[in-house]
Amino acid sequence: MVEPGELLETCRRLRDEEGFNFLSDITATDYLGWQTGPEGVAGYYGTHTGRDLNAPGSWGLAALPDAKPKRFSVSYHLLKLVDGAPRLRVQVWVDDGEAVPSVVGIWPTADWHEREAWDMMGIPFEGHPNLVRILMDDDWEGHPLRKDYPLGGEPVRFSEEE
Amino acid sequence: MLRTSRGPRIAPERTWAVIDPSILRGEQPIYAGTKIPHPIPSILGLPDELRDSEDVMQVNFGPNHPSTHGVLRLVVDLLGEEIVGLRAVIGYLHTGFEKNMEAKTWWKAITYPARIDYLSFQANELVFVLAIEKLLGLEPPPKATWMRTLLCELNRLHSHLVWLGTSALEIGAISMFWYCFRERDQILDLSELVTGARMHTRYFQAGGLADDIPRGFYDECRKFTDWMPKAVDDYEGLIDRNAIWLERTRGIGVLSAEDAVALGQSGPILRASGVDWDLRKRDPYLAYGEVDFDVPVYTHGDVYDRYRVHMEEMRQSTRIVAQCLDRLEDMQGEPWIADDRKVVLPPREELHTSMESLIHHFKIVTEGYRVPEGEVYVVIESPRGENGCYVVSDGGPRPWRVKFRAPSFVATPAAATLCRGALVADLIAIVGSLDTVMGEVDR
Repeated sequence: MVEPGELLETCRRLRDEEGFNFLSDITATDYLGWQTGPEGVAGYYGTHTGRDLNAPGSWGLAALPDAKPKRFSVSYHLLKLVDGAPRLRVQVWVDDGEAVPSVVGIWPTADWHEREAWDMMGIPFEGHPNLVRILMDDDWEGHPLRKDYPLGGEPVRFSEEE
Repeated sequence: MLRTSRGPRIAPERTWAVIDPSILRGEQPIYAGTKIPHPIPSILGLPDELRDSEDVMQVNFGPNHPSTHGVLRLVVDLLGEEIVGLRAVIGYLHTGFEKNMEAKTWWKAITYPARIDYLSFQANELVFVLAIEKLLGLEPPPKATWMRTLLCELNRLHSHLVWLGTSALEIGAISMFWYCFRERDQILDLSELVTGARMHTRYFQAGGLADDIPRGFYDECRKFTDWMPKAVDDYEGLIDRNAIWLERTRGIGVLSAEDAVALGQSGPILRASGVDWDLRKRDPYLAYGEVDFDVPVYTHGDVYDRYRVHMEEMRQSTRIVAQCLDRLEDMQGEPWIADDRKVVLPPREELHTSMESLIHHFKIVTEGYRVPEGEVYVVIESPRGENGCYVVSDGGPRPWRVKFRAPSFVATPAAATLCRGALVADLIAIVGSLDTVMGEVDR
């Protein structure tokens, strides 16, 4: 786990000195509603604390999961191209709207991974040369993989309310 | 009222302090001699002197074009026949698999991965099941491990056959398509024999296999492994020394080893660029540590070498399947799934006589099993390369986050590097040689 400010330096050191020259993946995860239950989280009526697993229809947890430092995590999965395939996960924690420095200058493959993380989770990558939506339409609103983004229902065009 | 509550739109602000301006702004490439475009690695930008040129024509290749292997749109800038600019636009097949999986129980979510990459369905199913097993600490029995190896290799053959058939078709070798699909159909028949479904089998469960291997499979599969090397010889006889094929593939779309690693390429693309990297050898999972096979590596990094790697891999996969059959034939009567009643469905016949089995069955089907809290990143060598699955669990019955590292998603932006200086006719050959599956790119 590293601070956003130290990310570039850490990554550069890992690539040049430790030999992790292969960036496998960048994943952003939204931890909204982690530990606290289902309020306002679409499709998540499951993870409430006070429920009993043995009661019919409950989805309760036996124990609370460990708290997370901030809302979003960005995980960089690195790989060293040697026998045994050693892997390393570098994790950065940010709040909504907080930026993460872009690693495109270190691993060019990060280009689309970061665009996807921006599109799906709304994490801005500072210094990315082309941070635009990749999977959704250019004029899409919201970031679909966030936990507060509803699971079902699409806005109806030309409906009375619009 | 709108049924969705959409959050405020956040613009990518660029007001923070710039940490490393010269490299991040793309003023200098990462290392000398690279062909990766900069500042944007995935876009081949129009050179400045051509920006206002009236000779440059912009052509939309796709999204609905038969040789895009799905719905890929390439915006190509052409100067005569030469490609001077290229930009890939994706997202036309985005169906939100990852979001959907978050709303399903672990048990139900296994259905989804196979549909992400519809050509290597078995490999995708495997990587997700392996991730669940890693979180659960569940060990499948040896028979399941060997059968998984066998099916994944059959699946690799299936994927390579579809690739060979379609990309040869695109370059004009029409008859290849029929021969490849003849063998592909045999593989799908085998798949139907074992799992009941030709594609999207859902045969792998957390803990092992869904059902025992049916009688008759070994004989049928043996027939196939005896036949397959001859079929590969046939394919090579058709195109390997065909002048048109050589002309259209040799020296086209060259990717150096350094560029391939920097662009995160994997699988046949990486091995055709001279990097000896195969997770089955370097970090053996399943039964790959116990079978004998070779990893083909070619050094030119062009379309022809990628084709060679695919052909050799088909031979090697057939070898692996035959070895798995040898082992599996000695394992008849052994269990095919782990004996863990909290995760694995009880045997069907017990439901009529055992109350506990009925309760377990009911609980797993309705509520699902709970997976301990944690996060794992599991990677396998799919037919297309490094196929990763990142899974977060909060200890509940549903995945908190599932992310697939799709090799095609990484291969598609490499087209910008490969098409530098290529002709428009080479574009089809180059994009075809990347072996992308758009379902996996867009997820």
